[in-house]
Amino acid sequence: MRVFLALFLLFGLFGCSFKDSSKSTPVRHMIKSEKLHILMRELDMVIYERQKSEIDRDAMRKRYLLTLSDTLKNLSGELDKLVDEKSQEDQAVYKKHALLLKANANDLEDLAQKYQFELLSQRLDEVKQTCKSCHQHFGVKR
Amino acid sequence: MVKRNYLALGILLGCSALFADDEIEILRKQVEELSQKIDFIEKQQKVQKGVLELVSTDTVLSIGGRIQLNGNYSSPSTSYFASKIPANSEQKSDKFSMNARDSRFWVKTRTPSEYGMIRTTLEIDFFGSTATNVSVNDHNPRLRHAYVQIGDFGFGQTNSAFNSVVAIETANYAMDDTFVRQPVVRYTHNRGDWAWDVSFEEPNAMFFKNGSASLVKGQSDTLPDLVLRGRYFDSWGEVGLAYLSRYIRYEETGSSDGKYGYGLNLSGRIKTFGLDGIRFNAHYGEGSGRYIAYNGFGAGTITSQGDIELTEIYGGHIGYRHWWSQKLRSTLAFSYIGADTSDEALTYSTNITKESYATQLNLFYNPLKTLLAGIELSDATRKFKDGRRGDAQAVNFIVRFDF
Repeated sequence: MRVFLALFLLFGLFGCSFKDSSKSTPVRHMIKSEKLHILMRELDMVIYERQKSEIDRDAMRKRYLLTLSDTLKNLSGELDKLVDEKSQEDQAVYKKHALLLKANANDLEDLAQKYQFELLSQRLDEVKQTCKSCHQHFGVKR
Repeated sequence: MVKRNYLALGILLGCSALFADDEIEILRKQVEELSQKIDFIEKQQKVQKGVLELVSTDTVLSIGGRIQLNGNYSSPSTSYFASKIPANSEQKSDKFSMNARDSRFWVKTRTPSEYGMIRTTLEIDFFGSTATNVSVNDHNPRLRHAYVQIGDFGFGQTNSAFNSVVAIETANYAMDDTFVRQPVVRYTHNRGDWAWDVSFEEPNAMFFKNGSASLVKGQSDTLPDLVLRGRYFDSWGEVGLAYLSRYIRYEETGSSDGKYGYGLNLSGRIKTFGLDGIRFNAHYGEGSGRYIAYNGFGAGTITSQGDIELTEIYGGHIGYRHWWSQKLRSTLAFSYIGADTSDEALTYSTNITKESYATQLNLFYNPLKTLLAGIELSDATRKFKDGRRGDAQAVNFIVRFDF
């Protein structure tokens, strides 16, 4: 029993979570991008979740995708805030990608609600393409 | 789709001067049919590579599964469960074995309906019966899941709602594994960050009883087990609390008894850094029996007066998974299970477990998304109620491909 109690004391000490601490928009953008990477990786890992039925796994996928969709929508909203010091041409590019990202987010939400996971790989590729296109235009390496 | 319709309309308008009304109607139908065929082909082309899909008007059927090879070197030769490790004085020599029985095959469907999406799953593995022919290693299929979910309601055989909401990623099971798969009827309210389940499940109670060295089945159940579960999901992870209530009954000629048993199970996962995370489970119950540690302790003991004395069970596990790189990860886990079985049970059997605990450490490698190779070291101890002790170590190997 002592071992049992020690175990949960240990858990209490080490139980911590990651929180966004910065208020700056570019930093928030980076943090959300990192969150997207993690969410996508977690989606890949759902097949390795033990003791789950396929129905359970699809429920997990749905939750991850709805979170992913919300994160993309937030990211899309923040892209608008990044345009202040840009040229008009750059502003147009930003806004175009913000709209594309929002459309990607809506597609993912729709996919999740309908359990159309066979389309998942294609939809995620579209998200990656939108991010890549924007990053390439503004010379961001990631 | 919209562009295509405009184009078709344009063609039709352009041609209207040249054709009679009935010809225009025929052309319109042909354009519609062509448009539908193009839509279907486009839909087919969007299907993910590697997924076999049979699409009817409404139902989508998917087929999948996995091929898994397990290798195990155990010292001494033993099953790695809380109540299976033999006492040190009774141990046999080491043993190496391999099998592919944990390979699985599943079929699932989804059909939209006015009650929400209807989803079904049917899954088998090959743990059916033990191979007796060592030349060809026959293994019979075994039903794992046969379950349908219609909107928020579900029925069939699947995992109990009392199970941990997440499991640690290990090759061997945790000593306190909270896991049952059985026939259920379930309502799930799954909205936003919360999910609630009410689940009526198959009742089965097992007991220590005079005249038997191992657990015997009661076979006198009159009510289904009830599980209530709440789950919460957030960006830091998820947590679930499940409550089990069951009426445990035993009857034989001349005597009968019934008691209410219960159990509480708290489980979850907490993200830490990057993909790393902690997974945990804590359990306490009286008469929770087979829901814990693969029925290692039973629900209770039938006393010499014919009464049921419920067994108190408590335990938990905690595991930390660390990612060394995108393809390489490890889990370090510790698990513990203890029980206060009636002293009277000792007069029936000496094979009664007081507590068991284990430590596991593994390294899993994913060269591809669907290919996994892993190795795990396990060290476990079992303490008997009569004071004896058994120790065991194991090395497990896994190679698995999901399709």
